Amino acid sequence: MVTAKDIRRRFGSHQALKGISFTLSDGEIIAVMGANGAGKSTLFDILATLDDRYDGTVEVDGANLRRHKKSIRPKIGYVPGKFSLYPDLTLEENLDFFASAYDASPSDIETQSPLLWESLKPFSTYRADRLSGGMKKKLSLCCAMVHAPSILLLDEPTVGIDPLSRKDVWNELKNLREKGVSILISTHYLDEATLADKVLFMHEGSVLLFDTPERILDTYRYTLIEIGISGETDNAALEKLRTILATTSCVLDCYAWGNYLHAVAESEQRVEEIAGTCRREYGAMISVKTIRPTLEDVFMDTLSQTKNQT
Amino acid sequence: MTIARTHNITKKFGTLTAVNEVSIHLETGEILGLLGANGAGKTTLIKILCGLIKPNSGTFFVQGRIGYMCQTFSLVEELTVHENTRFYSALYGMAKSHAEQAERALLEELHLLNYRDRQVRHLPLGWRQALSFAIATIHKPAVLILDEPTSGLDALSRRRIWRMMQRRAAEGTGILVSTHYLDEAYYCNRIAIMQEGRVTEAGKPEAIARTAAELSEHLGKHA
Repeated sequence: MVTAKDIRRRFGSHQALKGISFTLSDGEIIAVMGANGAGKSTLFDILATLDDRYDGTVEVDGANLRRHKKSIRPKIGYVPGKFSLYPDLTLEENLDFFASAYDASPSDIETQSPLLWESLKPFSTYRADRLSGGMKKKLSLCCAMVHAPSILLLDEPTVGIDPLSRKDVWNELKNLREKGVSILISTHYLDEATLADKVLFMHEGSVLLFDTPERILDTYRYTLIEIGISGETDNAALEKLRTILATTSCVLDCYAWGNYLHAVAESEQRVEEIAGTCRREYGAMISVKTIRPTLEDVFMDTLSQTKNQT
Repeated sequence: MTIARTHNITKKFGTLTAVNEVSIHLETGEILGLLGANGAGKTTLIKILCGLIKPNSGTFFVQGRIGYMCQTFSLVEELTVHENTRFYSALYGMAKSHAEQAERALLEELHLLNYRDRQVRHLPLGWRQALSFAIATIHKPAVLILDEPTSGLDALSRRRIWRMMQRRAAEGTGILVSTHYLDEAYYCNRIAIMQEGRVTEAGKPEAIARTAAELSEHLGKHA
């Protein structure tokens, strides 16, 4: 279990972290989201014991991270945002190196991360720099897990890797969660965030949202509607309707969404009014339905509120 | 109107068939998403359409000017926003007065007018990618080919780029875009799923899978 209380970190005049607090329980996955530059990597460096010039406290299983760095380190597995393996060592040699650094055996990976290792095994004599982006990420994960840590800190472990490899990674993370491992993972993929137990949304060094994905979706203040024009796959027709809706007073925002338009309505009561506006243009060809927002919609809304306050 | 089409395109690298008898088409004002695992052949197909590599067999055409954004960052980091814009507009053969007008419109759209003389490497990643996208469209191409334009970007930066894409599509540009973000599939009018060099499925995203989560399951099924 990791408990962070009011973590602050300053670089010169730049306050990178402005008081971050959260608890990561055993067998829990927290997804950290936020724009590039929100402070995610700074937070990971601190939790991984690589940076102790911060204010506030971090406790790992009740022990203070600053004071018990040495005894806590073996509990942590860390995948940094930048590729940090030895490019001129083979896949196997990299794994050997990281295992020996923790007094573990490289063969432990077969029980620790069977899914990922299975897909890497055929390439074990390849040099790390010859591996594809996806395989490098998988190898980084294996190297961080070989010593069976109880806490995994993963800074964008799936960036740039394809949907199938991402699924492999997440299946492995779910297995580890079952075993009680605590996982903090930063990602830009919304589909991954919905797989996590909780989402921590950061913006300019502060936590704006921290809750389960479902409860975060419930905080959305508006009504999101999807509008389609049957038989029309022509973007020009949708664009025409979009321009009309964008100037309608009860529509806060309207944008193209594939073969549909999405419109943000002030409230549920306004939906019929908006549907009427659409029907005046396209009659019965119009379909209008209320849809559930995505995490992205909530983030956008939360950010606009933050901007209005400052 | 069809503005780009491939017919049974095949490209081999040694014993590896990177693209295997692929036939796709792109219409005016349409966004076609290209999905698939790394190594499925997406980038090779894109490079063929751009005329950067020749297929071994099959035919293809692209009608009108092409705008291309490759996977690796393509702006010159040491040059300013303006210098990059000028450089690329010159490459596209645009007259100076025309280029200046286009640059103004583009920087206005990006809200980057105040950053005109800023070195590109000092811009945040999301803005660099947005600028890169805008510059690929400065010559008003009929066909826009984008290889993972949103890779590594946060949700808001991604949405900014997609909104610009949707504006271009509404103006009539046909867009072919590859992505690993499954939620982005739903911003497209049609998607094509590639696997081991072949297009295994194509159609409206909502007809293939209702949600990004279902689409992920769906991609798994092909493997």
